[in-house]
Amino acid sequence: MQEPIINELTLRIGGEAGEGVITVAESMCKVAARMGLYLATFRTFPGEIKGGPCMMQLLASERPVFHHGDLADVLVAFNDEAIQRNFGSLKEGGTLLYETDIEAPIPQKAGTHYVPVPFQQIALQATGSPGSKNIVVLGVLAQLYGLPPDQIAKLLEEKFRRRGQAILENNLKGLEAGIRYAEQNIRKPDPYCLRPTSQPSKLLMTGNEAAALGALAAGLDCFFGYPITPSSEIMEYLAKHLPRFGGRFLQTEDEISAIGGVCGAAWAGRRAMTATSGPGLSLMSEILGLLSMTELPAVIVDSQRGGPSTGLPTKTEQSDLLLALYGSHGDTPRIVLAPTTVRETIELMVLAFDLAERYQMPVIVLMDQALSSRIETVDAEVLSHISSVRTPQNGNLDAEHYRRFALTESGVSPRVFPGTPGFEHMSTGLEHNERGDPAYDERMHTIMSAKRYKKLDAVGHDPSVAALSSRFGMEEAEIGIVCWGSTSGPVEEAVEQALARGIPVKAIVPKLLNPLVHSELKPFLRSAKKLLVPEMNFTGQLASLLRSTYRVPVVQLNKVKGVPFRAKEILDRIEQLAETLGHKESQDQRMLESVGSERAE
Amino acid sequence: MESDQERPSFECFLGHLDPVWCPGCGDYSVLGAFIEVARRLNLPTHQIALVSGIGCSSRFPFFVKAYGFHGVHGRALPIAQGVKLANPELTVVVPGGDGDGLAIGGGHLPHIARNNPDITYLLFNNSIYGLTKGQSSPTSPHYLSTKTSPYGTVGETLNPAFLALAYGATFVARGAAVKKEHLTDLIQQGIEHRGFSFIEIITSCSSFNTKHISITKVLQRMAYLEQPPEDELEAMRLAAHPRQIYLGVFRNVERPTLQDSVEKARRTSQKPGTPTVPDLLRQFA
Repeated sequence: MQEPIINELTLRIGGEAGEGVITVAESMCKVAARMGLYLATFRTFPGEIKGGPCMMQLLASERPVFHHGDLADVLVAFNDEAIQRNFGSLKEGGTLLYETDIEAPIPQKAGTHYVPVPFQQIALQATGSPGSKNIVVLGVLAQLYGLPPDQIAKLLEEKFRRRGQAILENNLKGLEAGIRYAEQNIRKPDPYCLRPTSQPSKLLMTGNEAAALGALAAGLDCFFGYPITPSSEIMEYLAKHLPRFGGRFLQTEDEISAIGGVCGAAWAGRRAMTATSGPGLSLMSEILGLLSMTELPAVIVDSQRGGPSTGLPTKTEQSDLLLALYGSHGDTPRIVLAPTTVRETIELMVLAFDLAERYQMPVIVLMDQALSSRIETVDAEVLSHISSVRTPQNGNLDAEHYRRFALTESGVSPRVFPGTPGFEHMSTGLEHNERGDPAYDERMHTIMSAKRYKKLDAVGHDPSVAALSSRFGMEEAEIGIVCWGSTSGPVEEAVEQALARGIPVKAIVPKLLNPLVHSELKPFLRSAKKLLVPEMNFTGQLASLLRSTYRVPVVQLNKVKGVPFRAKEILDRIEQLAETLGHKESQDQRMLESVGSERAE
Repeated sequence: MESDQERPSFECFLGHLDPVWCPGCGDYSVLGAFIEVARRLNLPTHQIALVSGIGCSSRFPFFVKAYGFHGVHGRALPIAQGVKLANPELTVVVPGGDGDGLAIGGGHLPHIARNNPDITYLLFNNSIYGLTKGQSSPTSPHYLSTKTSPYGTVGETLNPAFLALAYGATFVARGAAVKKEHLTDLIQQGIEHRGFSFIEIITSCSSFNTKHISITKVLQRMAYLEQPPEDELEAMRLAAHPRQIYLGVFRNVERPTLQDSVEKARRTSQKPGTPTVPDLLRQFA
């Protein structure tokens, strides 16, 4: 009997960099997005410039998806190594499509559907070269999993048109050959088949592209940056497009110069930003303090990667939280935002610029490699409800009595930009009085420290940050999860699965990490008997922050494998906590539960 | 040319704070020379942006009526570059010392010279750290014993003007605080020059290198360049002369400025019609 069709597919493709693995996966994504399906993906990057194993996983579904899926329904392996590396990520009863030529023994698992396909041979026969075997793979996948051939052909035309008719025709031949082979030789082994939805087609973009677009939507004027993995695409996108909008782009000699440029441009009255990763943020920390001291707006994107030091440049981690919050000498108020999805990255970038300007302080937007590089579907109407609110310089001031750092009720002082007649003044990194003159007496330092932190407090009450946190699960659940950034996806998935198994659980995901919104977090933390904090770092940085801020015991779940959480890893921990609930245990034990996940990716 | 009386007064350019420099410090002379240039060029005070780092000479902006930014040690040039990029209308001048510019901030100089923003850099070279009370600097002579070099300094002495020539700065000059009129002319030329102007100003610290560096001896070694040498290598040879300390302009050439590069990127990138972010979004469909 034919099983019902499932309009959802988790597909993993692995091979050697240069074999076209990413082209196949991205083409699948593009077509699926045009069919109105939701998508989330994850890809790894080899550490080397050429060669090395690469992998991309995608989850396409008719329902909104939160992350790229745990285990794959279908694994496509271009070579032996891809099987060895990824077989463990194929779910029980999954389908393995692999190159027939592979000589090494194929790992066996009961229930797996083994489908050897002579991809290379088919490509050779169809096009005279084995080079287009990835397009043959695409054809086979299209036939098996419901992607309309005409749409793929259209995509290939868009992709290869500029490279000449011959190349395009070869690819179309490869596609056709793949489709025909699957039609004639493969009996579909699984129930997954993608079908167009009634929804409008969606946009597909990476987190890095979203960050750049968000900045442009916010009216970015000046970008300064230094290339660094995994944030460089933000810089590259803006290098190309910012000048078209009349903006100014500069690649500087290092990250210190980049944040210096941002500082200068901000002082001159422009919206300015930089994008970097952990090592760059470390270098920027001194001028971050200067921005806090001189009360200037700036937006700094940190796409986190494995640390410390050079660490794992191409792998993901969430270990810069405390650096973002505190990294600089002295007391340095700053806003920290952490988007959880590609779409949200656009929204929070706009908010970052608005808050920076309104409160005159730096805003750090924490992304991570997984979020930066993943492709996700975004509604075509994403911009329709976003608008940036500029805070202009103060116009109706009495020049005679102008004080740049005047003490006000909100702590925010009137800003006037250089070039404005009659308001000449100094900004200095020295402690200063209201006029901006150096003043280091104890009284002034106390007053001015309080002034700067008053602004940070006010951020937590700004209407634009109200209801910024996401919440999932059951309000009355005793198990509560707090997480941040891209870990939100697997947490949301895990919460759904736990609820489906009858385990009450709830989660809160603050997007504003500095200042924390107490009115949201306090009741949540108080109402949970067990608090779980999953983070992609070793020490539990959000966990530390929650403990020190709210004095609550939390259970940590830490993962530093360079890849995102699987929902299953979080679900397992929820189940463990559910079992222990009601059992007596000492608080010490609860505090010390901080073992990382055991499952190898 | 208008007469001196018709120009704005010296006081018009004085900030509301009095200088904190020691009596006899060369920085007073540079302040006077700069204000004289501001008078001559009739610079509107609100169009002057003085950007500095940390050091005695970096306090300069506090004593001038202008917009001033006093930042962190060694980063004045990158910040000034950002200011000029953001608002090309401003006359951006960076005063700073040899430690600020060549020790902690030395990595930025070649790149600012390369980018050629239209800013003027006044490098006060007194061969000592004054603000921190007498430690050796990258321009301290090897025989100088200081609090951090009691047995003589380690490393070769850097020659600021020579470095600026090597880095390709489009205007390179050397003046001396004791030669105020000559210095005034140099600063004026520097500000009028379109591009990055580097002016090394030989000065002395009246508190911390008085014993070992004799200003009289320095004066004896000074010689003047009438005009920039036509030959690049000759300019470098004179800047690095082992006996004479040449004062004057070593190079004054035109090259596209940072602003020109920005304009070029805009022109090259522009397609017909004004782009909008929704236009960009459609590329992701």
